[in-house]
Amino acid sequence: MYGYSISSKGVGNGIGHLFALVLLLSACRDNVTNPSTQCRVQMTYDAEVTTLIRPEKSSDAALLSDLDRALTLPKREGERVQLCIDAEGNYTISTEYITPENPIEYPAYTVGVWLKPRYKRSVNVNGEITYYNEANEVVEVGYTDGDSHSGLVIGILNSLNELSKSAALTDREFASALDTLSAHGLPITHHDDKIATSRISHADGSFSVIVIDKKARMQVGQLDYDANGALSTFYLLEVEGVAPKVLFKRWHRVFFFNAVDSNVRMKHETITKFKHFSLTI
Amino acid sequence: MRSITLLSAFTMAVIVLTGTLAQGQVSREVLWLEGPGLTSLSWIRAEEAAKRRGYKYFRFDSNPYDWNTTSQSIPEWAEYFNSKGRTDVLGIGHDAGGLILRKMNALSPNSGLSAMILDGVPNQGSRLMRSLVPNAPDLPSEAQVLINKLLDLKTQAQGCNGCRMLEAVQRWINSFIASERTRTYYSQMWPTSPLIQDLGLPTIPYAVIWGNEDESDGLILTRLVASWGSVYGQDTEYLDCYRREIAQRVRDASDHALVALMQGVAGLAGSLAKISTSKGDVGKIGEAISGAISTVANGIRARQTLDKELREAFECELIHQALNAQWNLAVSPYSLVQDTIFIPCIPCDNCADDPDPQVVGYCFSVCTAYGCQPLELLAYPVEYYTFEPHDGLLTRSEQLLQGAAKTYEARKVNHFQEQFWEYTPIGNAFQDLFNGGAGAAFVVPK
Repeated sequence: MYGYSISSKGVGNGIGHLFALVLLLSACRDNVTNPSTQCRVQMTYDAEVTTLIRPEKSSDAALLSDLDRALTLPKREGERVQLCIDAEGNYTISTEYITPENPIEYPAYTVGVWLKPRYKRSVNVNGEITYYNEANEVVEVGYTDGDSHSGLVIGILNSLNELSKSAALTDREFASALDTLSAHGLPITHHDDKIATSRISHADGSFSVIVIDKKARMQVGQLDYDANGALSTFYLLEVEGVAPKVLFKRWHRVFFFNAVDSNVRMKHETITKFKHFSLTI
Repeated sequence: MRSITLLSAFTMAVIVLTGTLAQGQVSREVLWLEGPGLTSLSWIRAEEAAKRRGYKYFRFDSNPYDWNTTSQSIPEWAEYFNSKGRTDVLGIGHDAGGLILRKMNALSPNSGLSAMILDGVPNQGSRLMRSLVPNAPDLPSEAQVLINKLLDLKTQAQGCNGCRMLEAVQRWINSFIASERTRTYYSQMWPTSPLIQDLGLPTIPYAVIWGNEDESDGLILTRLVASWGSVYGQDTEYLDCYRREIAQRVRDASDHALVALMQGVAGLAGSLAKISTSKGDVGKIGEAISGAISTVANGIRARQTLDKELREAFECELIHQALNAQWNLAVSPYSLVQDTIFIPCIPCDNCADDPDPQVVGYCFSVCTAYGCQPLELLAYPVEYYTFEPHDGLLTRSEQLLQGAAKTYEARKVNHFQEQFWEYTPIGNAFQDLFNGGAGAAFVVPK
């Protein structure tokens, strides 16, 4: 009985999932310029993603072994992305790998060249990722923990619903609301008219700093420190406009790791330059 | 009378044809010598391919060598084969098998070998063996030291299965020093070993086939280990598996990052909008404030989880890259190239020096927004290493031998694949040699 009911539930979910998948695909596929009414949120862009690996301190470069130096080759990839989130919280992310405008190339027989994507396109529907080749044939299907993304997606929809219920906040109202938070346990530091930050401590002694762009009215960065006070990761986003109607310009992500051979602390940074960005909410 | 003439002509024709056929069917004695199983496991496939193509030869019985290649040193095996007293033998050697042929000739120019084909042979020794085989039995090899580091890193990178490639490589390289006998055997192939130093050039005709893996991604060890464990030298098993694993992790983490970014767009603005609209309603505003704080906290946690995913995916990739990079550096001499590329502007590094983390965040954000022109590309110096083409174990210059009657490059062929005629450059080279393309000394009749 127990097994049967699980099976039934599974079938039901499967049909629902399949239905959502068909709807999403038909709504979002190749629809860059005309946002579909099926997508509660639709974001499309082209991007050039440059990855750099270097010692955190430039003076440590001399300490790198030949192997570690060989593993610092910069790379650049191009991608064309479409994100669609429907009102039910289903999401589709289609990523097509494109040639960047300024590719980084190395001669034959170079040590440490990073793997290039072997797929032309991937489509992630609620965590199920299908990979396509140049001929648009399915070459691989992978399953990920879609639930971990779903929470975020639902959060996005809830926030958008709140935004739609209220009139647009003025700069003053936004700053006032931040001060309200500050008075209730989320200390806010105003650095200037544009940027505010907040430091949040965690139970294990680590802490995070979030960066808020008051003009754009959104979080544009987060820095995470370990319990010893060392910066372990951060991201910063450059935007134009006012949330939720913003244009992404540049996204900078960094994490640190120890070099394999020399034990030098290394910085892995990814710089995403957005082009043809469109966000429809 | 006319019938007699026709009969005579027919008889003559039969005699001539029979003679020609008989001449064509004269077999050649061939000594097929493989290297040890770790680097030359499938040599029998080359013999089988030659037979399938109709080449006629007597096999010089190489037992018990075939089953116990490392039980004696290369000079000892050379003496053993020389003691058989054969003549006009064509020697064909792969890997260390070729060194035995050369040593046979060096020990006795009248060894009975009349020509030799050296296929993927460490003619100048093997630089790699210095990394795989330590100077003394109680010392770890350089390769083992690196593998231990990578295994530690792999343990930290949660869920980095890596298709068990690292373990396969470890098994393989451990076998080179499984006993003092094997350690001693493989140390004969050091470029500085007395064997290599004293060999000299052969006094009989010889031809060289050299393998060149020639893959642009440099993932030569990944392919090599797959070939080692495969029946026909196929090299894609680990590469396919690894690409799947890494591609999936990176894709998932990147998609996750995108969703998290969208949450940044809507989350704070939505929460603060709720606070603003709830003002004046004591019950609602408390809920709105706690909701906003919860949104911020959840966003931070989501971001931390995401960063962990990204870092672990990278570390998993790094292990694989490091293994292959180190392999290339160990196999081949390499040179440093200094170059310049152009990158988008990156935020000010010195922001991180401020003691106040909030000021660090502010500084970075100002730098991100104002410190760079978005379209501006900056010159960025890069350094990288280039290596000499190799077959996964031996470089071009290690395989080449001056004075060869003919030298064949086997492109896209790794050391293990050099044993298979199914890889076109190998099959073509052998057939050219057997058909007389490098002279009569190498001919094997059909």
